Formats: sequence, C-alpha cells, structure tokens
Amino acid sequence: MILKQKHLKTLPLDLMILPGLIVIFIFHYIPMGGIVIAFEKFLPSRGIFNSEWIGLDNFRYMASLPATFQVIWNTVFISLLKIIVGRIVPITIALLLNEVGSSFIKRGVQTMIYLPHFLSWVILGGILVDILSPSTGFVNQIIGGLGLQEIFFLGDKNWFPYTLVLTNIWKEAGFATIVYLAAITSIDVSQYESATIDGAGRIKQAWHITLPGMLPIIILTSVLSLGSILEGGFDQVFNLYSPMVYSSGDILGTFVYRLGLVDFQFGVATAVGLFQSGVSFILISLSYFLAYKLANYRIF
Amino acid sequence: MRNNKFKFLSYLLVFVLISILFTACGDTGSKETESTTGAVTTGQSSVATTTGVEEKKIDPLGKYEPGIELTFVRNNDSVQFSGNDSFDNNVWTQTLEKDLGIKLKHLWVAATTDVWAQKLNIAITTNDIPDFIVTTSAIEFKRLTDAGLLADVTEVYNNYKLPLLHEILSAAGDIPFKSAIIDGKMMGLPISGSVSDKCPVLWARKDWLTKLNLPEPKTIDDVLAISKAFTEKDPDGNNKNDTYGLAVNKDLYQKVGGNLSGFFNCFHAYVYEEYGYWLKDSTGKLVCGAVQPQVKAALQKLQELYAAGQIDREFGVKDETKIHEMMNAGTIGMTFGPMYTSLRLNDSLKIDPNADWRPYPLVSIDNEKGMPQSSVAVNNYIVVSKNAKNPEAVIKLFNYWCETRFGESCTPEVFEKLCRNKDGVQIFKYFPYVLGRPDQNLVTHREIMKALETKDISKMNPGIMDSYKKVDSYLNNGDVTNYGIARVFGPGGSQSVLQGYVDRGLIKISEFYGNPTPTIAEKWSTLKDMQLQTFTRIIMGDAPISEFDKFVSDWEKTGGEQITKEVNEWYAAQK
Amino acid sequence: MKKNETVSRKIFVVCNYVFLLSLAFICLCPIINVLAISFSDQAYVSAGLVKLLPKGFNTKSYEFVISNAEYLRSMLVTIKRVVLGVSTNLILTTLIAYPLSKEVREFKRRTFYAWMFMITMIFSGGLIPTYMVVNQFGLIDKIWALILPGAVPIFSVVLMLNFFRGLPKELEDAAFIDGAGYIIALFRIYVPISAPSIATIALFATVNHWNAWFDGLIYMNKPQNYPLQSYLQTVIIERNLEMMSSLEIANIEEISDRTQKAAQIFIGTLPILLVYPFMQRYFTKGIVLGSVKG
Repeated sequence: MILKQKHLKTLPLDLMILPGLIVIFIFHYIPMGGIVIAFEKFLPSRGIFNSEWIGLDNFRYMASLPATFQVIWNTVFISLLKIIVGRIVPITIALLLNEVGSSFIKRGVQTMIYLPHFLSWVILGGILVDILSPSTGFVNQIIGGLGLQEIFFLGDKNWFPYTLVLTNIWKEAGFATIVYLAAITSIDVSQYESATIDGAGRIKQAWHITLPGMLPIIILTSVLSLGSILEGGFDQVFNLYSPMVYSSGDILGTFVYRLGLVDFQFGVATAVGLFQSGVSFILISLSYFLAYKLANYRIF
Repeated sequence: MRNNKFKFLSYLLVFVLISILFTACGDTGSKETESTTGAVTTGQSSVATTTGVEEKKIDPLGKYEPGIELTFVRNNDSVQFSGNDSFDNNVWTQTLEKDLGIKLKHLWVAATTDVWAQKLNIAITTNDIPDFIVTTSAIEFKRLTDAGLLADVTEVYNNYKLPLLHEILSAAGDIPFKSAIIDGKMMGLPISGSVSDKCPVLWARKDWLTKLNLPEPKTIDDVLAISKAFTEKDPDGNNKNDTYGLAVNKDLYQKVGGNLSGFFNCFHAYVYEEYGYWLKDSTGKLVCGAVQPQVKAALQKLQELYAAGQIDREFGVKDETKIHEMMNAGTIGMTFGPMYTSLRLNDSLKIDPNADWRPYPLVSIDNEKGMPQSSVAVNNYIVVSKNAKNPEAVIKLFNYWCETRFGESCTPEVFEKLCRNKDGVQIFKYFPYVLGRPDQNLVTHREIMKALETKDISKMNPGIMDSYKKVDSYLNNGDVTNYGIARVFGPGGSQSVLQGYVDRGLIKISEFYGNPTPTIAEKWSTLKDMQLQTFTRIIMGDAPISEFDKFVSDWEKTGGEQITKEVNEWYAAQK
Repeated sequence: MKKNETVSRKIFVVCNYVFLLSLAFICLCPIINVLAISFSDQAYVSAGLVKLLPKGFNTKSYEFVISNAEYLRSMLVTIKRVVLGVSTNLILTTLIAYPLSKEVREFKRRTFYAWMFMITMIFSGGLIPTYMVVNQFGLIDKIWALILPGAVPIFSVVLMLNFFRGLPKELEDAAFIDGAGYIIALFRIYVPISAPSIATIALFATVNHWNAWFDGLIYMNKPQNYPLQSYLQTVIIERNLEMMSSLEIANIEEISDRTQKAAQIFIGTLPILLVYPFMQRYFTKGIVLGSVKG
C-alpha cells in the first residue's frame, strides 16, 4: 500500500488511538479467543483448546431446559421496562432540578439522590425486605393508610418485575440524572433567552428546547442500554428474588448461576454469554441504523 | 462503497484471526513455560529430597533440613489478623517452619465461595494447582480426580501417619475412607464430620411454654398445640397479634433458623441432603427421600399451618438472617434447627431477659420414634497434587496439628500460643485447615457436665477448658454473651439431645455417601430447584397438595429415574 | 418579569421543592439505616430493631474500624487505584474520542477503529481467558490488573465523542488556519472547554473504580492487595457452614458483628459521596459559548 498524502495527514489521529487500541487488543481481543469454550465440553484440566468440540450442543442444551424461554422473556421484559422507566424518571428529575433556583438545594438534592447507587444490592436486599414487607413495611403502611390493600412487593410474582424496576430506579436514577443535567448545561443559553423574549413559558421551553437538546444523550444511553437487554441486572435479582417469584423474576444470569452452570458447566455458561452478546450486537446495530436513517443521528 | 466495506471487513477478519492465534499461542506457551520452570525446580529439590528420603528414617514429625516450601490455596473464612500478620506470616507459619522446616506459601486466597470456584477452575485450566488443597465439596474432589491432577496418597499416608491423625480421620468409621478410594487408590484424606452434629433438633422458648401453661413437646400434637398457642395467645404480652408459631426460612430445609428438615423427620420424611437423601425401600433398593409419600403428609400440615397464620406469610422472602432477627426480637417462638442454633440467639436475652430457648429431641406423628437425619458423605478431602515434590510433608503437617491440638503436647502454654480463641481473634484458624475430632462436641459436653459437678478441671484439655469456662460464666455468673454456648454444652443443652439420639440409636443416616454420579453432576441442580419451588408453592397454598404427585413424576422424568439407577448401581457395588 | 410570577408558577415551585426533597429523603434512608446500625448495640441489630435511629448508642464499631489495619490498607489500595485508574481512563478516553469524532471524509480509518472499540463492548471471552491474559503479562497481584482491563470505558468514549461533535467546528478551523495540528487542536482548544464532559467522565471513572470489587478478588491473590470494596465483600458475606465437615463449636462460634460491618460500609462510602459535590462546579451552564461569538 502506498501511503497517500491524505493518509499521512491524519497520522496523528492514528497515533492518538494507538495506545487505546493496544490496550483493548491485549485485554479484550486476545481473551476473545476463549469464545470457543461455548462450543466445547469444557473441562478445565483439558484447557481451552483441547476440550472436546461439540458444536452447538451447549446451545441446544440451554434451549431444551423447560424454563429457558420463560427466563429469556422475563429478562427482556424487565430490561425493556427498566430502559423506558430509566429514561423517563431521571429526565423528569433533571428537568425539575433545572428549575430550582437555589444552587445549594440543587447540589444537596443531587448528592442525596445518588446515594443509593453506592450501596450494594447485598445490603439493599436486607433493607428492602423490611421496607417492602406487607405487614410491617413502611411503604405498605402508607398504602394501607390510603385505604388500599397491601402489596407483597417481593413475594408476589405479578408484582415482582415491577418491584425490580422501581427499586432499580430508586438506586440508579440519581446517578443517571447527573448525566442528563450535564447534557442540559451544554445547551446554548441564548436559545432560552430568545424563547423567553418570544413569550414562551417554562414548560414550552422545556419541551421545545431542553428535551431536543438532550435528545442525542437520551438516544445514546437508550441504545447502549438496549445492548445489555439480556443482562437484566444479576446482582439485583440475585439478592432480591426467591423461589416464590422465579416464574416472573428469574433472569438468564440468575438461572444459569442457580443451575451451577457457571462453576461446573462452563461451556454452557459461555454459550449463554455468547448468545447474550449476539442479541446485543443485533440490537445495537439495528438501533444505530434506525437512529441514522430516521433521526440522522450517528451514535458513534 | 462496496470496496470500502469489503476492505473493512477483511481488516476486521484479520484482526480477529490474529487475536485468536495469540490466544492459542499464549495458551500452549504458558503450558510450556510452566513445565520448563517446573522441571528446573524439581531437578534441584529432587536432589535434596531423594537423598533425604533414602537416608533418613521415616519420621511422621521429622523436620526438613534444609527447609522446603509447601504451597496451598485457601478459602478464607473470616480469619482476622493482628499487626503485620498475614496468611503467609503468623505464629503458625513460624512454628511450622521452626519445628518442621516447612515454609507454607499461599498461592492465593479466595474470599467467597464463588471466587473460590472460579479461581480453582482457573488454576486447573492453567495447570497451576498448589501442592495440596482441601476441597470444599465432593464434586470438587471428583473434578480433581477426573482431571488426573492428584497424587495417590496411599503409601505416603500409611508410612507417615501419626496414630493420632489416623484415629481422628477414622473416628467416623471407614466409610469416609471408602469414598476417597478411586480405582483402588486413595486419592485424598477424607475429613469427616460428626454424624450427630448434623442432626436437627427442636428449639422452643421455654419461658413462653411456662407462661402459656404448655407442656414440653413430646409428640407432634404437642408441637402443633405450641405453634397454635404461640401464634394466638400473645406470648410476648404486648397485646399485638405479631407472633408466629413456627419459623420457616426461604430455603425451607437448609441453613440454621427456620430449617424444616427436623419437621419433615417428625413425619418420617427425609427431603434434603447435598446430593439427595437416600433410603432403603421395602425391596432393599435405594430411593430418594424427597419423592416418597411421607413427604406429602408433612407438606399438607405445613400448608395448614401457613393458612392458619402460624407460619409467617412472608417466609418466602426471608433468609436465615431475617429469621434470626425475628427470633431475637421475640416474634417467633419455635424452630427446628441444628444444634448450634442457640449461638445465633444470644441477643434475644438482651431484648427480653426472660427469653429461654431450649432444645428438644424430635417428636413423631405416631408410635414410631422421630428419627433425625444425618449423613456420612464427605465434602472436605485433603488432596495432594501429583506434582508436589514432598507429598509426605502434607501428612506431617496434619500430624503436627493433631499432636498440637489434641495430643499430649497440648499444654496450656501451647494452647494459648497456637489455639486460642479470644476477643474475636481465632489463632487456630491460621492453620490451613481446622481438622477436628468428629466426636469433639459430644466429648466436650461430657467433660463439661462432669466438671460442673466435680469442679475438677485439672486434667481438662485446654480446648475443652475454654468452652467450660464460657458455660460456667453463664450458668453461675449470668454472663449473657455465653448463653448460646451454654445451651449447646450445658445441662439440657443441644449436645445432650444429640447424645440421647446416639444412645437410643435414633440417627437415620442417608444411605448414599459416594461421589456424585455423572447424572447427579449434570442434573441435580435442576432437580433441587424444582423441589424448592414446588414445596414452597404447596406450603403457601399456591398449589394444591396434588401438585406433589406431579412433582414426583416430573422429578423422575427430568433425570431422577436415571439418578436412582446410578445410585443403586453404586449401592450394589458397595456390598 | 415579575408579573409573570403567576400563582401557578408559585405552586409549581413549592410542589417541586417538596417533591425533590422527599425524593432526596427516600434516597437517604438506606444510608441513614446503615449509619444507625453502625452506632447501635449489636443486640438490637441482631433483632432487626434498628431502623433510622441508633439503639444503644456507642462508637465501638468505629473504634474497631480505625484500628483495623486490613481495612485501612485496603482503602489505600483503592485510593491508589482510583488515582491511577481515573487518570488512565481520562487520557485514553480523550485520545480516542477526538479522532473518532471526526467525519469519515476527514479521517478514513475512523469507521474501522469505531467498530474495533464497539465490538469489545459487546463480545467478551469471559473470565478464564481474561485472567490468563492478565496472568501472562505478570499483572496478578499488581495494581495495574485493576486498571488496564477496563482502561478504555467505551461508554465514556461515546459520550465524549458526541460532546466533541457538538462543539462548533469554527473553533478547530481557526486553530488549523493558524497552523496548528491535530494534537494542538485537541489539547489547546478542545480540552479546556470540555469541562462538563471531562467532569462527567471523571465522575464515572471514579465511582466505577471505587465500587469495583470482583476484579480485586479475582486478580489479587494476596488479601493484602485487596481494594476496599473487595475487602468489604469478605466481611459482608456470611459464611456458609453447610459444607463444613467439622462443626466444632470453637470453629463456628464467632458471630459476625453487624455494627462493625455497617461502620466499615459507611466509612467506605463516605469519600466517594463527597466527590460529586466537589465536581459540581464543573457542571455549570454556558461554559462553551462565550468563546465563539464573532
């Protein structure tokens, strides 16, 4: 290949990318060779490349387990809900916070709402069992006070997916709000000024200026979340679920874990991981394509 | 456009292929480097040891001159160090180096069971297992033997074992040893627990029994009456309807507080052991306890208790910790559980000084006595890597431990230095594995009872003395922090209940104690899962009792039938 | 302006405050609970009686934590990790986001690189192969094992590259006309005005490094090298006694002290809580514009 003048001109850019490229090559691409485990009857003693090759058998095994499709459905359902609610709530909070005049209150509230993010689900699990208890829990006392029947958030299989979504929002919304607030701050102030001159009220301004200004970030975070739709949040589900709610709350990760596949049938666990990655790849590519064609917005 | 895409895709393909090549090279590469370095060191030390072994007499506690290194990996179970101590540097490692010339080196420490499993898998894959390991499950032992990574320790054990070590390892009979023999070779040293320690016991609040004029439980009707009274008659006297009769945790028949194994045993049902509880049927074949008809009656009764509000409606989301909280807070008055349940209940006295949890033997639904379940299956094996340069060193290590802790060398000074348990620092845990005498607890209980009477502690083993002092401090000084241990070892304590089981031959041991069969290794988790879900739903009334029959047939179809076959094949081979 | 302060606006403001403050309180509850437990008497904690206020107030657990060498050591490891890790993340993210933010016609190989990075976000070889690579490079038990594998946070790269795209092209063009190359353009022009983006990414990186615990447990063979959250995991997780053969009482006797755990958790969370308020000033409005008018 003759190095054209054009290629040379952008050489500094290539050099800038080089360190990052080397890092991901070493720590991500080389280990990717391990994906072959998904197609093997992996025995640690035989090593990665000497275990017996069984083609798609690991995938077939997973598909043959009766609960697999229920579990996949649960995972998709819960993730989608989380994505949708996970946009609406933080954005709303960001907009509301944006209206607060006092910077002290603003900062204070922001700091406090991002606190739950730092507690692990191991701890939050124990706390939530108490708070959400139908008999003694705080939440249900309020519900009871309103004259409604108490809800067994953690034990009722109809409620459990929603419990997962709501508690997840409680834990993560504060942190996501920060991202959206940062996006809001990057919006051109003069747009607001001219809007006010034109007589637009705050709500109109929010709808026509702020939201569109945040759209790129919203699309970006949604697409990236879509990519992990089959992950579903192992930590959270693992610490909150129980046999009572397996049918609606069991996700792919906890299912694989509970069947001991992670320790003892590594090939199957890797196959599941590969399946999750595959779906993720398709979804991200699809949304990238859609965002480009419909909103003329390139995500990356 | 097409040209660019094609070029791009080809770059991508090349990139990925190169990465795979790298991994492949890296993989074999690591094996090669491993073996070359391995060869070098073996070369060096084999010179030293071969001459050493040929010249020296075989001495079970002989010191290595020059010293050798012994590598180990550890499942860290909350060991605390002081100062600059660490796993590789503490009073035990120093003593071992001084007296045996063995320098203990930990390759890695795993903090939780998950991490342990992952790191062990990695170690096996990278061919980097230490000189010796203590397995944490029978399936681990099977994996290691199947992988051909272990040394045959028959000879080295027979030559080097100290009589005391052998006495301790075979205190449970030779069934444990049989499980360690694969293809005629002993591939590990089995560490067996006490059969009695695993038995469930019934715990109830005696102060509530007295308050409500209830007799101590002798039959299942007594237990049911107690449960009803505890729920309905406001035993904590706060005029609130907030107490429950029977504790149940979300794992149903596992863990400590709320463990229903004992309840099922009262119905002559045996629903859980690590790889299933197996009993002999009328034809002499083995069947799995979880799918026998007796289970149905027990589930039915539990369903009734739940419906009557005697079992917490929220038990399905409560783990043992929450159950202990409730017991301490005085909202549950009765539970089945292991003999050490009272250790979790110390704090109930702080909340209610009148609280008094007492252990009772299992009751029964009919004239046949309630027989508590137990198992002789071994989970912990001491295994030696076949690449270990000094396999006998492992034996010497445990010889030394036994001698120091249980033998004549266990003077109060030695105990204080190496074995004490004070202020939360448990020095004896620094040793790679706390090997205990299987019958230690029963012996401790007997000694303590004797001493309480005669006040003569002059000949007491320092370890037992420790426990004695604690029991004494509660009984005679009202020291509440030792309440739990007093209810284990003291008069009327859980160990006395266990002793009663032993004396009356009531312990029913699961008939299967072999290593997991192939189908067990593959399907058991699924079956366990199915069982837990079905039983939970039945108890909660989510499913009718007939669901149990459906469970039995599903169980058979999903591998249960095959497993039963394999277990019976094993059983036939034992005769 | 004043006459636009309608009643409805006033009501909105009040409701807004009430709503946000209640929200803040709800989010504060779990931390308050942990705090209360840390100051309580163990007995009340074991009975689950401590909610938002301590019972049997004492500071024993904090005395324990302060004197616990392992805890303090692990905190030092985490601080080291955060400093090194966040710097690495920031540098690499900026270096990668800038070229990727260019259009294809300007930078032909951009798409190739973008795909290279994207794929690592989606596909992974799994724990065992990654461990083997880290091991091969001699990083086990070294701080870099906690930094290098995650050194390129793709999410942050995407955030930053979008941010760069949103900056006015005129800024850069002005620099090029003056004869500056890409490197100068990046460091002298773009970076100084990218405070909100850099702050966001730094915040993410700090929080991620502070909270990460699994890699610490896997890549650090010696407990002395555990970062804080890894060490906390060893403290929080209850021992599973079921698989233990020997139930010798001396061995199973010690009961976990939950007040100590709570104190350790709280102190472990404190530093990171203070990071955001500190970084707040970088999230202010209108930094960008001001410099391009005219």
